[in-house]
Amino acid sequence: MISKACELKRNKRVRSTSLPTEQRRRSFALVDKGLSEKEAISEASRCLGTLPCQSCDICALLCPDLCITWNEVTEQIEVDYDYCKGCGICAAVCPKKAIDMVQE
Amino acid sequence: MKRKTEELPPMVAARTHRPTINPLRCGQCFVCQQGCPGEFLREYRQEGGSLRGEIYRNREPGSVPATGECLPPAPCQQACPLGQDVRGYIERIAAGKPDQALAIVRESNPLPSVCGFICSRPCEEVCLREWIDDPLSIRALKRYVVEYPSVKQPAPSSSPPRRGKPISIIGSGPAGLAAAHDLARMGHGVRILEAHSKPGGMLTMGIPPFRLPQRAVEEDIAHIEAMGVEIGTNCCVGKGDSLKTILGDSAALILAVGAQRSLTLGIVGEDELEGYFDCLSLLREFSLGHSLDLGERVIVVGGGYAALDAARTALRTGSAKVTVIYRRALEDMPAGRGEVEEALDEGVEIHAQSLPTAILNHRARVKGLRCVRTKMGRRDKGGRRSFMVIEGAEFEVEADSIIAAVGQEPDLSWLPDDYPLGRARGNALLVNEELATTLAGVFAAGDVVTGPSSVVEAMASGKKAAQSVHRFLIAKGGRR
Repeated sequence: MISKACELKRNKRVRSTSLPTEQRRRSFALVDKGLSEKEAISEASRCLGTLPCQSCDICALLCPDLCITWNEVTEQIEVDYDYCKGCGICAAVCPKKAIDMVQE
Repeated sequence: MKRKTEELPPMVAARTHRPTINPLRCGQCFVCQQGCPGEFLREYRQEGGSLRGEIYRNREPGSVPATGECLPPAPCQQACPLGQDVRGYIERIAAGKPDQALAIVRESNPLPSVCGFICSRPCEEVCLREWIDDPLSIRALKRYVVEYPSVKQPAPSSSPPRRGKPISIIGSGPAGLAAAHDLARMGHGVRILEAHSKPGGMLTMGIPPFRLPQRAVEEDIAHIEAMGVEIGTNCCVGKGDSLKTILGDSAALILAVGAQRSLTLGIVGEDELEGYFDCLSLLREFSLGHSLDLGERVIVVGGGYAALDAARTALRTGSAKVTVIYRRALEDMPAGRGEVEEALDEGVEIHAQSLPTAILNHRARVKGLRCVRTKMGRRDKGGRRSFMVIEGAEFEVEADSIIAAVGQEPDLSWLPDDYPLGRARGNALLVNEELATTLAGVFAAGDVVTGPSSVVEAMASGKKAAQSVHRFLIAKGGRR
Protein backbone atom coordinates (compact mmCIF):
# COMPACT_ATOMS: atom_id res chain seq x y z
CA MET A 1 0.00 0.00 0.00
CA ILE A 2 1.04 3.56 -0.37
CA SER A 3 2.00 4.99 2.98
CA LYS A 4 2.07 8.66 3.79
CA ALA A 5 2.66 9.34 0.12
CA CYS A 6 0.48 12.38 -0.15
CA GLU A 7 -0.41 13.11 3.41
CA LEU A 8 -0.29 16.85 3.66
CA LYS A 9 -1.03 18.56 6.92
CA ARG A 10 -2.08 22.14 6.51
CA ASN A 11 0.04 24.32 8.77
CA LYS A 12 0.67 28.01 8.51
CA ARG A 13 4.12 29.49 7.97
CA VAL A 14 6.28 30.14 11.00
CA ARG A 15 6.64 33.86 11.50
CA SER A 16 9.76 35.25 13.10
CA THR A 17 9.19 37.56 16.06
CA SER A 18 9.76 41.29 15.76
CA LEU A 19 11.07 43.77 18.26
CA PRO A 20 8.18 45.43 20.18
CA THR A 21 7.01 48.64 18.51
CA GLU A 22 7.87 50.94 21.45
CA GLN A 23 11.47 49.70 21.43
CA ARG A 24 11.75 50.10 17.66
CA ARG A 25 10.80 53.78 17.64
CA ARG A 26 13.79 54.82 19.72
CA SER A 27 16.54 52.44 18.65
CA PHE A 28 18.25 51.27 15.52
CA ALA A 29 18.29 47.66 16.69
CA LEU A 30 17.40 44.99 14.16
CA VAL A 31 13.61 44.70 13.90
CA ASP A 32 13.31 41.09 12.78
CA LYS A 33 14.54 38.68 15.45
CA GLY A 34 14.90 35.64 13.17
CA LEU A 35 13.95 32.00 13.70
CA SER A 36 15.00 29.69 16.50
CA GLU A 37 16.41 26.26 15.68
CA LYS A 38 13.08 24.56 16.43
CA GLU A 39 11.14 27.06 14.34
CA ALA A 40 13.60 26.80 11.44
CA ILE A 41 13.44 23.01 11.31
CA SER A 42 9.65 22.96 11.48
CA GLU A 43 9.43 25.64 8.76
CA ALA A 44 11.96 23.86 6.54
CA SER A 45 10.00 20.61 6.93
CA ARG A 46 7.02 22.28 5.25
CA CYS A 47 8.95 22.44 1.95
CA LEU A 48 7.33 20.16 -0.61
CA GLY A 49 10.83 19.09 -1.68
CA THR A 50 11.20 17.24 1.62
CA LEU A 51 7.97 15.23 1.22
CA PRO A 52 8.33 11.52 0.47
CA CYS A 53 6.01 11.58 -2.58
CA GLN A 54 7.07 14.05 -5.27
CA SER A 55 4.16 13.20 -7.63
CA CYS A 56 6.59 11.95 -10.26
CA ASP A 57 3.93 9.40 -11.35
CA ILE A 58 6.53 6.75 -12.13
CA CYS A 59 4.60 4.23 -10.00
CA ALA A 60 1.40 4.89 -11.94
CA LEU A 61 3.15 4.62 -15.30
CA LEU A 62 4.73 1.29 -14.47
CA CYS A 63 1.76 -0.31 -12.71
CA PRO A 64 0.75 -3.36 -14.79
CA ASP A 65 -2.82 -3.14 -13.54
CA LEU A 66 -3.22 0.62 -13.97
CA CYS A 67 -4.57 0.81 -10.45
CA ILE A 68 -2.59 3.80 -9.11
CA THR A 69 -4.64 6.89 -9.82
CA TRP A 70 -5.02 10.50 -8.85
CA ASN A 71 -8.15 11.17 -6.83
CA GLU A 72 -9.52 14.51 -7.98
CA VAL A 73 -11.71 14.92 -4.90
CA THR A 74 -9.19 14.24 -2.15
CA GLU A 75 -6.30 15.45 -4.36
CA GLN A 76 -4.29 12.44 -3.28
CA ILE A 77 -2.68 9.56 -5.08
CA GLU A 78 -4.42 6.25 -4.28
CA VAL A 79 -4.27 2.54 -5.08
CA ASP A 80 -7.31 0.60 -6.25
CA TYR A 81 -6.89 -2.49 -4.06
CA ASP A 82 -9.69 -4.34 -5.94
CA TYR A 83 -7.33 -4.72 -8.89
CA CYS A 84 -3.84 -4.53 -7.31
CA LYS A 85 -2.12 -7.96 -7.41
CA GLY A 86 0.62 -6.80 -5.08
CA CYS A 87 3.45 -7.22 -7.59
CA GLY A 88 5.57 -4.56 -5.83
CA ILE A 89 6.84 -2.77 -8.96
CA CYS A 90 5.59 0.57 -7.64
CA ALA A 91 7.51 0.16 -4.38
CA ALA A 92 10.64 -0.95 -6.26
CA VAL A 93 10.70 1.98 -8.69
CA CYS A 94 9.71 4.79 -6.30
CA PRO A 95 12.79 7.06 -6.24
CA LYS A 96 11.87 8.50 -2.83
CA LYS A 97 10.91 5.11 -1.33
CA ALA A 98 7.52 6.50 -0.41
CA ILE A 99 5.72 3.19 -1.01
CA ASP A 100 5.90 0.35 1.52
CA MET A 101 4.72 -3.20 0.82
CA VAL A 102 2.61 -4.17 3.85
CA GLN A 103 1.77 -7.79 4.65
CA GLU A 104 -1.96 -8.67 4.37
CA MET B 1 -3.33 9.64 -14.97
CA LYS B 2 -5.41 12.78 -14.66
CA ARG B 3 -3.88 15.44 -12.52
CA LYS B 4 -4.42 19.11 -12.11
CA THR B 5 -1.17 19.96 -13.83
CA GLU B 6 -1.89 23.68 -13.79
CA GLU B 7 -2.10 23.64 -10.01
CA LEU B 8 0.75 21.35 -9.02
CA PRO B 9 3.40 20.93 -11.73
CA PRO B 10 5.31 17.66 -11.57
CA MET B 11 8.48 17.72 -9.55
CA VAL B 12 11.65 15.68 -9.64
CA ALA B 13 13.37 13.99 -6.72
CA ALA B 14 16.24 15.97 -5.25
CA ARG B 15 19.72 14.95 -6.38
CA THR B 16 22.23 13.60 -3.93
CA HIS B 17 25.55 14.76 -5.43
CA ARG B 18 26.48 17.71 -7.56
CA PRO B 19 29.31 17.88 -10.08
CA THR B 20 31.29 21.11 -9.66
CA ILE B 21 33.77 22.20 -12.30
CA ASN B 22 37.19 23.44 -11.23
CA PRO B 23 38.07 25.98 -13.93
CA LEU B 24 41.75 25.71 -13.10
CA ARG B 25 41.82 22.07 -14.04
CA CYS B 26 39.23 22.11 -16.84
CA GLY B 27 40.89 21.81 -20.21
CA GLN B 28 37.57 22.25 -22.03
CA CYS B 29 37.77 18.82 -23.66
CA PHE B 30 33.93 18.64 -23.57
CA VAL B 31 33.98 14.94 -22.76
CA CYS B 32 31.69 15.65 -19.83
CA GLN B 33 29.19 17.40 -22.06
CA GLN B 34 29.24 14.68 -24.68
CA GLY B 35 28.78 12.02 -22.05
CA CYS B 36 25.95 13.76 -20.17
CA PRO B 37 22.77 11.65 -20.09
CA GLY B 38 20.85 14.82 -20.99
CA GLU B 39 22.34 14.46 -24.44
CA PHE B 40 21.30 10.85 -24.75
CA LEU B 41 17.78 11.55 -23.54
CA ARG B 42 16.96 12.95 -26.97
CA GLU B 43 17.12 9.53 -28.59
CA TYR B 44 15.93 7.70 -25.51
CA ARG B 45 12.73 9.67 -25.21
CA GLN B 46 10.77 7.15 -27.26
CA GLU B 47 12.61 3.98 -26.28
CA GLY B 48 10.69 0.90 -25.16
CA GLY B 49 11.57 -1.43 -22.34
CA SER B 50 13.35 1.07 -20.13
CA LEU B 51 12.23 3.09 -17.18
CA ARG B 52 13.29 6.34 -18.82
CA GLY B 53 11.30 5.62 -21.95
CA GLU B 54 8.28 4.74 -19.85
CA ILE B 55 8.54 8.02 -17.99
CA TYR B 56 8.85 10.23 -21.02
CA ARG B 57 6.60 8.47 -23.54
CA ASN B 58 2.93 9.40 -23.89
CA ARG B 59 3.00 12.15 -21.32
CA GLU B 60 0.60 15.04 -21.63
CA PRO B 61 2.12 17.88 -23.64
CA GLY B 62 3.82 20.35 -21.37
CA SER B 63 4.21 17.95 -18.47
CA VAL B 64 7.70 17.05 -19.67
CA PRO B 65 9.96 19.65 -21.29
CA ALA B 66 10.58 19.52 -25.00
CA THR B 67 13.25 17.24 -26.40
CA GLY B 68 16.77 18.36 -25.66
CA GLU B 69 15.99 20.12 -22.41
CA CYS B 70 16.41 18.97 -18.86
CA LEU B 71 13.55 18.65 -16.41
CA PRO B 72 12.87 22.10 -14.99
CA PRO B 73 14.12 23.01 -11.52
CA ALA B 74 11.63 23.82 -8.75
CA PRO B 75 9.73 27.11 -9.18
CA CYS B 76 11.65 28.77 -6.33
CA GLN B 77 14.95 27.96 -8.02
CA GLN B 78 13.64 29.23 -11.36
CA ALA B 79 12.41 32.47 -9.80
CA CYS B 80 15.73 33.19 -8.07
CA PRO B 81 17.93 35.45 -10.24
CA LEU B 82 20.92 33.53 -8.82
CA GLY B 83 19.29 30.13 -9.44
CA GLN B 84 19.97 28.96 -5.89
CA ASP B 85 19.15 25.34 -5.06
CA VAL B 86 16.45 26.38 -2.59
CA ARG B 87 14.95 22.95 -2.05
CA GLY B 88 18.41 21.52 -1.57
CA TYR B 89 19.37 23.77 1.31
CA ILE B 90 15.93 23.71 2.91
CA GLU B 91 16.10 19.92 2.93
CA ARG B 92 19.44 20.14 4.77
CA ILE B 93 17.93 22.56 7.33
CA ALA B 94 15.03 20.17 7.90
CA ALA B 95 17.58 17.40 8.42
CA GLY B 96 19.25 19.54 11.11
CA LYS B 97 22.44 20.19 9.11
CA PRO B 98 22.66 23.99 8.72
CA ASP B 99 26.39 23.88 7.90
CA GLN B 100 25.70 21.70 4.86
CA ALA B 101 22.86 24.06 3.95
CA LEU B 102 25.28 26.99 4.02
CA ALA B 103 27.65 25.16 1.70
CA ILE B 104 24.79 24.71 -0.79
CA VAL B 105 23.82 28.40 -0.49
CA ARG B 106 27.43 29.47 -1.06
CA GLU B 107 27.59 27.49 -4.31
CA SER B 108 25.53 30.15 -6.05
CA ASN B 109 25.20 33.04 -3.59
CA PRO B 110 28.24 35.28 -3.00
CA LEU B 111 26.52 37.30 -0.23
CA PRO B 112 24.44 34.84 1.80
CA SER B 113 24.33 36.90 5.01
CA VAL B 114 23.10 39.99 3.20
CA CYS B 115 20.44 37.98 1.36
CA GLY B 116 19.30 36.42 4.64
CA PHE B 117 18.21 39.89 5.76
CA ILE B 118 17.16 41.98 2.79
CA CYS B 119 16.49 39.79 -0.23
CA SER B 120 13.32 40.80 -2.09
CA ARG B 121 12.29 37.11 -2.02
CA PRO B 122 11.08 36.33 -5.57
CA CYS B 123 11.23 32.65 -4.52
CA GLU B 124 8.50 33.02 -1.90
CA GLU B 125 6.10 34.48 -4.45
CA VAL B 126 6.11 31.27 -6.50
CA CYS B 127 6.40 28.72 -3.67
CA LEU B 128 4.05 25.82 -4.45
CA ARG B 129 3.19 25.50 -0.78
CA GLU B 130 1.00 28.56 -1.34
CA TRP B 131 -1.61 26.24 -2.87
CA ILE B 132 -1.83 24.30 0.38
CA ASP B 133 -1.46 26.94 3.12
CA ASP B 134 1.32 29.56 3.10
CA PRO B 135 4.53 29.90 1.10
CA LEU B 136 7.70 29.03 3.02
CA SER B 137 9.66 31.78 4.81
CA ILE B 138 12.67 31.11 2.61
CA ARG B 139 14.54 34.29 3.52
CA ALA B 140 14.09 33.67 7.25
CA LEU B 141 15.48 30.16 6.75
CA LYS B 142 18.53 31.51 4.95
CA ARG B 143 19.08 33.96 7.79
CA TYR B 144 18.83 31.09 10.26
CA VAL B 145 21.59 29.28 8.35
CA VAL B 146 23.99 32.22 8.21
CA GLU B 147 23.39 33.11 11.87
CA TYR B 148 23.60 29.56 13.20
CA PRO B 149 26.28 29.83 15.90
CA SER B 150 28.12 26.56 15.36
CA VAL B 151 28.25 26.99 11.60
CA LYS B 152 31.87 27.35 10.58
CA GLN B 153 32.23 29.36 7.43
CA PRO B 154 33.68 26.88 4.95
CA ALA B 155 37.26 27.95 4.34
CA PRO B 156 37.64 29.47 0.88
CA SER B 157 39.81 27.44 -1.45
CA SER B 158 43.47 28.43 -1.13
CA SER B 159 44.24 31.15 -3.59
CA PRO B 160 45.82 29.70 -6.70
CA PRO B 161 48.83 31.41 -8.29
CA ARG B 162 47.67 34.48 -10.20
CA ARG B 163 49.50 35.50 -13.30
CA GLY B 164 49.42 38.68 -15.29
CA LYS B 165 47.36 41.76 -14.63
CA PRO B 166 44.36 41.61 -12.30
CA ILE B 167 40.77 42.28 -13.28
CA SER B 168 39.62 45.63 -11.92
CA ILE B 169 36.09 46.20 -10.67
CA ILE B 170 34.91 49.73 -9.97
CA GLY B 171 32.33 49.76 -7.20
CA SER B 172 31.99 47.37 -4.26
CA GLY B 173 28.21 47.07 -4.11
CA PRO B 174 26.33 43.78 -4.53
CA ALA B 175 27.11 43.61 -8.28
CA GLY B 176 30.84 44.33 -7.88
CA LEU B 177 31.23 41.94 -4.94
CA ALA B 178 29.37 39.15 -6.74
CA ALA B 179 31.51 39.59 -9.85
CA ALA B 180 34.70 39.61 -7.74
CA HIS B 181 33.61 36.50 -5.86
CA ASP B 182 32.93 34.51 -9.02
CA LEU B 183 36.07 35.68 -10.83
CA ALA B 184 38.22 34.84 -7.81
CA ARG B 185 36.63 31.41 -7.66
CA MET B 186 37.48 30.94 -11.33
CA GLY B 187 41.11 31.64 -10.46
CA HIS B 188 41.54 35.22 -11.60
CA GLY B 189 43.28 37.98 -9.72
CA VAL B 190 40.71 40.63 -8.81
CA ARG B 191 40.91 44.08 -7.26
CA ILE B 192 37.94 46.25 -6.35
CA LEU B 193 38.13 50.03 -6.30
CA GLU B 194 35.71 51.70 -3.91
CA ALA B 195 35.23 55.45 -3.66
CA HIS B 196 34.00 55.48 -0.05
CA SER B 197 35.92 54.57 3.06
CA LYS B 198 33.98 51.32 3.55
CA PRO B 199 33.19 48.67 0.93
CA GLY B 200 29.62 47.50 0.33
CA GLY B 201 28.04 50.27 -1.70
CA MET B 202 24.34 50.63 -0.91
CA LEU B 203 24.65 47.80 1.61
CA THR B 204 26.77 49.98 3.90
CA MET B 205 25.76 53.43 2.68
CA GLY B 206 22.03 53.00 2.09
CA ILE B 207 20.29 50.33 4.06
CA PRO B 208 19.81 51.26 7.74
CA PRO B 209 20.92 48.91 10.55
CA PHE B 210 17.40 48.05 11.72
CA ARG B 211 16.96 46.14 8.47
CA LEU B 212 20.51 45.00 7.69
CA PRO B 213 23.10 44.77 10.49
CA GLN B 214 26.59 45.82 9.39
CA ARG B 215 28.09 42.60 10.73
CA ALA B 216 26.24 40.69 7.98
CA VAL B 217 27.85 42.83 5.27
CA GLU B 218 31.25 42.62 6.96
CA GLU B 219 31.05 38.82 7.20
CA ASP B 220 30.30 38.44 3.51
CA ILE B 221 33.02 40.89 2.48
CA ALA B 222 35.56 39.18 4.77
CA HIS B 223 34.73 35.90 3.06
CA ILE B 224 35.30 37.41 -0.39
CA GLU B 225 38.56 39.04 0.75
CA ALA B 226 39.71 35.66 2.08
CA MET B 227 39.35 34.34 -1.46
CA GLY B 228 42.13 36.68 -2.53
CA VAL B 229 40.15 39.71 -3.70
CA GLU B 230 41.86 43.01 -2.95
CA ILE B 231 39.54 45.86 -2.00
CA GLY B 232 40.96 49.35 -2.23
CA THR B 233 38.85 51.97 -0.48
CA ASN B 234 38.92 55.74 -1.00
CA CYS B 235 39.83 55.25 -4.69
CA CYS B 236 37.70 57.81 -6.41
CA VAL B 237 38.04 57.04 -10.11
CA GLY B 238 38.07 60.19 -12.19
CA LYS B 239 39.57 62.30 -9.40
CA GLY B 240 42.66 60.26 -8.50
CA ASP B 241 43.51 57.51 -10.96
CA SER B 242 42.00 58.12 -14.33
CA LEU B 243 40.02 55.39 -16.02
CA LYS B 244 42.68 55.10 -18.70
CA THR B 245 45.50 54.21 -16.28
CA ILE B 246 43.27 51.69 -14.51
CA LEU B 247 42.33 50.09 -17.81
CA GLY B 248 46.01 49.92 -18.77
CA ASP B 249 46.85 48.10 -15.51
CA SER B 250 44.03 45.57 -15.83
CA ALA B 251 43.26 42.50 -17.86
CA ALA B 252 39.61 43.60 -17.97
CA LEU B 253 37.40 46.15 -16.25
CA ILE B 254 33.92 45.84 -14.79
CA LEU B 255 31.98 49.00 -14.04
CA ALA B 256 29.60 48.32 -11.16
CA VAL B 257 29.05 51.85 -9.94
CA GLY B 258 25.32 51.55 -9.27
CA ALA B 259 22.59 54.14 -9.61
CA GLN B 260 23.76 56.89 -7.29
CA ARG B 261 21.89 59.98 -8.40
CA SER B 262 18.52 60.63 -6.77
CA LEU B 263 15.76 61.75 -9.08
CA THR B 264 13.96 64.94 -8.14
CA LEU B 265 10.27 65.57 -7.61
CA GLY B 266 10.14 67.71 -10.72
CA ILE B 267 8.96 70.82 -8.85
CA VAL B 268 10.80 74.01 -9.80
CA GLY B 269 13.27 75.30 -7.24
CA GLU B 270 12.81 72.37 -4.87
CA ASP B 271 16.44 71.62 -4.11
CA GLU B 272 17.29 75.21 -3.20
CA LEU B 273 15.00 75.16 -0.17
CA GLU B 274 16.29 74.55 3.31
CA GLY B 275 14.80 71.35 4.68
CA TYR B 276 14.77 69.53 1.36
CA PHE B 277 16.79 66.30 1.26
CA ASP B 278 17.30 63.60 -1.28
CA CYS B 279 16.90 60.15 0.14
CA LEU B 280 20.24 58.64 -0.86
CA SER B 281 22.47 61.39 0.51
CA LEU B 282 20.36 61.44 3.68
CA LEU B 283 20.77 57.69 4.24
CA ARG B 284 24.47 57.97 3.39
CA GLU B 285 25.00 60.80 5.89
CA PHE B 286 23.23 58.72 8.48
CA SER B 287 25.35 55.61 7.81
CA LEU B 288 28.50 57.70 8.16
CA GLY B 289 27.34 58.56 11.65
CA HIS B 290 26.53 62.22 11.00
CA SER B 291 23.69 63.63 13.07
CA LEU B 292 20.52 64.56 11.27
CA ASP B 293 18.13 67.30 12.25
CA LEU B 294 14.96 66.74 10.30
CA GLY B 295 12.59 68.59 12.64
CA GLU B 296 9.37 67.40 14.21
CA ARG B 297 7.34 66.72 11.08
CA VAL B 298 8.88 64.92 8.11
CA ILE B 299 7.40 64.08 4.72
CA VAL B 300 8.91 61.33 2.55
CA VAL B 301 7.82 61.24 -1.08
CA GLY B 302 8.03 57.81 -2.73
CA GLY B 303 6.99 54.20 -2.20
CA GLY B 304 10.11 52.08 -2.57
CA TYR B 305 12.37 50.39 -0.04
CA ALA B 306 14.52 53.53 0.19
CA ALA B 307 11.48 55.72 0.97
CA LEU B 308 10.40 53.51 3.86
CA ASP B 309 14.00 53.24 5.10
CA ALA B 310 14.23 57.03 5.16
CA ALA B 311 10.85 57.35 6.91
CA ARG B 312 11.75 54.82 9.57
CA THR B 313 15.19 56.39 10.04
CA ALA B 314 13.55 59.81 10.53
CA LEU B 315 11.24 58.32 13.15
CA ARG B 316 14.19 56.85 15.01
CA THR B 317 16.21 60.07 14.96
CA GLY B 318 13.44 61.77 16.89
CA SER B 319 10.90 63.14 14.45
CA ALA B 320 7.43 62.90 15.94
CA LYS B 321 5.31 62.71 12.81
CA VAL B 322 6.51 61.03 9.62
CA THR B 323 4.27 60.94 6.58
CA VAL B 324 4.92 58.99 3.39
CA ILE B 325 3.32 60.40 0.23
CA TYR B 326 2.87 57.88 -2.58
CA ARG B 327 1.13 58.51 -5.90
CA ARG B 328 -0.32 55.03 -6.42
CA ALA B 329 -2.39 52.83 -4.08
CA LEU B 330 -0.89 51.19 -0.99
CA GLU B 331 -0.80 47.73 -2.60
CA ASP B 332 1.15 49.12 -5.59
CA MET B 333 4.11 50.18 -3.45
CA PRO B 334 7.37 48.69 -4.77
CA ALA B 335 8.53 48.11 -1.18
CA GLY B 336 7.81 44.68 0.29
CA ARG B 337 4.58 44.00 2.20
CA GLY B 338 6.50 43.14 5.36
CA GLU B 339 8.38 46.44 5.29
CA VAL B 340 5.17 48.45 4.72
CA GLU B 341 3.48 46.71 7.67
CA GLU B 342 6.48 47.26 9.92
CA ALA B 343 6.56 50.95 9.02
CA LEU B 344 2.81 51.32 9.74
CA ASP B 345 3.28 49.51 13.07
CA GLU B 346 5.98 51.97 14.05
CA GLY B 347 3.64 54.87 13.41
CA VAL B 348 4.64 56.02 9.93
CA GLU B 349 1.58 57.51 8.22
CA ILE B 350 1.16 56.58 4.57
CA HIS B 351 -0.89 58.83 2.32
CA ALA B 352 -1.37 56.65 -0.73
CA GLN B 353 -2.82 57.98 -3.99
CA SER B 354 -1.37 61.45 -3.43
CA LEU B 355 0.78 63.34 -5.90
CA PRO B 356 2.92 66.32 -4.77
CA THR B 357 2.27 69.46 -6.80
CA ALA B 358 4.08 72.21 -4.89
CA ILE B 359 6.40 72.69 -1.95
CA LEU B 360 5.09 75.34 0.46
CA ASN B 361 7.89 77.47 1.83
CA HIS B 362 8.46 80.40 4.09
CA ARG B 363 11.65 82.45 3.66
CA ALA B 364 13.33 79.68 1.62
CA ARG B 365 12.54 77.10 4.30
CA VAL B 366 10.24 74.13 3.72
CA LYS B 367 6.87 74.61 5.40
CA GLY B 368 4.77 71.86 3.83
CA LEU B 369 3.71 70.03 0.73
CA ARG B 370 0.65 70.56 -1.45
CA CYS B 371 -0.66 67.33 -2.92
CA VAL B 372 -3.53 66.26 -5.10
CA ARG B 373 -5.49 63.02 -4.78
CA THR B 374 -5.23 60.48 -7.59
CA LYS B 375 -7.41 57.62 -8.73
CA MET B 376 -6.14 54.36 -10.10
CA GLY B 377 -6.51 53.32 -13.74
CA ARG B 378 -5.72 50.21 -15.75
CA ARG B 379 -2.56 48.16 -15.66
CA ASP B 380 0.01 48.79 -18.38
CA LYS B 381 2.14 46.13 -20.07
CA GLY B 382 4.66 46.15 -17.23
CA GLY B 383 1.87 45.35 -14.74
CA ARG B 384 1.95 48.78 -13.05
CA ARG B 385 -1.30 50.62 -12.74
CA SER B 386 -1.67 54.05 -14.23
CA PHE B 387 -3.11 56.85 -12.11
CA MET B 388 -5.08 59.99 -12.86
CA VAL B 389 -5.20 63.24 -10.92
CA ILE B 390 -8.60 64.07 -9.42
CA GLU B 391 -9.19 67.74 -10.28
CA GLY B 392 -9.72 69.97 -7.27
CA ALA B 393 -8.95 67.27 -4.70
CA GLU B 394 -6.01 69.16 -3.27
CA PHE B 395 -4.74 69.05 0.27
CA GLU B 396 -1.77 70.32 2.21
CA VAL B 397 0.51 68.59 4.71
CA GLU B 398 2.69 70.67 7.00
CA ALA B 399 6.29 69.65 7.42
CA ASP B 400 9.69 70.83 8.61
CA SER B 401 11.55 68.76 6.06
CA ILE B 402 10.83 66.88 2.87
CA ILE B 403 12.75 63.80 1.71
CA ALA B 404 12.51 62.92 -1.98
CA ALA B 405 12.76 59.17 -2.58
CA VAL B 406 11.24 58.93 -6.03
CA GLY B 407 13.91 56.84 -7.73
CA GLN B 408 17.52 56.85 -8.80
CA GLU B 409 19.54 56.78 -11.96
CA PRO B 410 23.19 56.01 -12.73
CA ASP B 411 25.57 58.93 -12.20
CA LEU B 412 28.20 58.87 -14.93
CA SER B 413 29.35 62.47 -14.57
CA TRP B 414 32.82 61.22 -13.55
CA LEU B 415 33.38 59.75 -17.02
CA PRO B 416 35.18 62.11 -19.39
CA ASP B 417 32.82 63.38 -22.10
CA ASP B 418 35.03 62.09 -24.90
CA TYR B 419 35.23 58.61 -23.41
CA PRO B 420 33.95 56.12 -26.00
CA LEU B 421 31.34 54.39 -23.80
CA GLY B 422 27.86 54.20 -25.33
CA ARG B 423 24.93 55.37 -23.21
CA ALA B 424 21.47 53.86 -23.07
CA ARG B 425 18.14 55.21 -21.88
CA GLY B 426 17.89 56.61 -18.36
CA ASN B 427 21.59 57.57 -18.22
CA ALA B 428 22.56 53.87 -18.09
CA LEU B 429 25.53 52.32 -19.89
CA LEU B 430 24.90 50.66 -23.24
CA VAL B 431 25.77 46.95 -23.09
CA ASN B 432 25.14 43.85 -25.20
CA GLU B 433 23.70 40.55 -23.90
CA GLU B 434 27.15 39.66 -22.56
CA LEU B 435 27.21 42.89 -20.51
CA ALA B 436 30.14 44.16 -22.61
CA THR B 437 30.20 47.92 -23.18
CA THR B 438 31.14 49.52 -26.47
CA LEU B 439 34.79 49.53 -25.38
CA ALA B 440 36.68 46.22 -25.68
CA GLY B 441 37.55 44.69 -22.33
CA VAL B 442 35.19 46.95 -20.38
CA PHE B 443 32.08 45.33 -18.94
CA ALA B 444 29.28 46.74 -16.80
CA ALA B 445 27.03 45.13 -14.19
CA GLY B 446 24.29 45.99 -11.72
CA ASP B 447 22.20 49.12 -11.45
CA VAL B 448 24.43 51.07 -13.85
CA VAL B 449 23.03 48.79 -16.58
CA THR B 450 19.51 48.03 -15.38
CA GLY B 451 18.61 51.12 -13.41
CA PRO B 452 17.63 50.68 -9.76
CA SER B 453 16.84 47.04 -8.97
CA SER B 454 17.05 44.69 -6.01
CA VAL B 455 20.19 43.35 -4.32
CA VAL B 456 19.65 39.87 -5.70
CA GLU B 457 19.19 41.14 -9.27
CA ALA B 458 22.35 43.24 -9.01
CA MET B 459 24.23 40.18 -7.77
CA ALA B 460 22.92 38.09 -10.67
CA SER B 461 24.10 40.79 -13.06
CA GLY B 462 27.55 40.79 -11.42
CA LYS B 463 27.80 37.01 -11.74
CA LYS B 464 26.85 37.25 -15.41
CA ALA B 465 29.52 39.88 -16.00
CA ALA B 466 32.06 37.59 -14.30
CA GLN B 467 31.20 34.81 -16.77
CA SER B 468 31.54 37.21 -19.70
CA VAL B 469 34.92 38.47 -18.49
CA HIS B 470 36.11 34.88 -18.04
CA ARG B 471 35.09 34.03 -21.63
CA PHE B 472 36.65 37.27 -22.89
CA LEU B 473 39.99 36.45 -21.25
CA ILE B 474 39.96 32.89 -22.59
CA ALA B 475 39.22 34.19 -26.10
CA LYS B 476 42.09 36.64 -25.70
CA GLY B 477 44.34 33.67 -25.01
CA GLY B 478 45.42 34.80 -21.58
CA ARG B 479 44.96 31.35 -20.11
CA ARG B 480 45.43 27.89 -21.64
